Amino acid sequence: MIGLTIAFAVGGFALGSYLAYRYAPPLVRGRGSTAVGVVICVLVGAAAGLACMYVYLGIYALIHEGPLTGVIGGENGDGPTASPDANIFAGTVYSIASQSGVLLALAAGVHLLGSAGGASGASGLSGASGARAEVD
Amino acid sequence: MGALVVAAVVTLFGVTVGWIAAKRLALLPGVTTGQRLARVSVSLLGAIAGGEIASQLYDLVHRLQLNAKLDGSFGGRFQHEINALDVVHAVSTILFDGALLIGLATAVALIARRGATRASIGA
Repeated sequence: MIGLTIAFAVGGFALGSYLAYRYAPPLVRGRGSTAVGVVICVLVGAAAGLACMYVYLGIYALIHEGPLTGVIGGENGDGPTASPDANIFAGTVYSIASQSGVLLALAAGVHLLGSAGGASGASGLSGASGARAEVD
Repeated sequence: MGALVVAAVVTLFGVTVGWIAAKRLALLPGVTTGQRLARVSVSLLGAIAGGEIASQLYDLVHRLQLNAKLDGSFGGRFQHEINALDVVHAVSTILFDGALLIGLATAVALIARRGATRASIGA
């Protein structure tokens, strides 16, 4: 489980970083634009890594918390009790929204700040996207 | 006591690396008081990010070493669960707090640079 948790986090980080590098709109060319692009890739990668890790942990918990459902869930008609599955799902959604959402919002803010200002030419987070933008 | 000293040294190393990296990458002129304040803020945020990441990494290694000394109660399942909790906590802290601090430092540097550009255009 530990190895898979780390693998999901690292894999999500790599996937998010690559997607930001490949598909993010171009930045304004200037001093330090490369560093801004790297920071945006790190922010999106961290958000994706956290989301992947929490999704894996949620699925793992849903699978392995199964026996508790019969004990706590009131099979004998003891009245309504909180479902562990619903708690796990809500906790996973809350973790992803509160952490990945903040990081994605910050990445968008940094990108807007990096794109604003002078219009001395566009440089994409990847050279291909920048060239594509110029062709379009 | 030895672990405390090592933790302090590792954290100081992370703080130094973060401080220097943020100061060199910010590219902020220190002409006015506001620009100097922004440069110090960016350096501080970078230093905190570096210290946080380094201390969390060392904390994870230290916790795993401590957990290895636990006895094999419940067929080792207890130790496995504790290890998993520590790893999840360390990974989420490094990814979230580290990225948040780095992003904030970048945002502060970009805002300060825009202000400096406007001031130079106005002058």
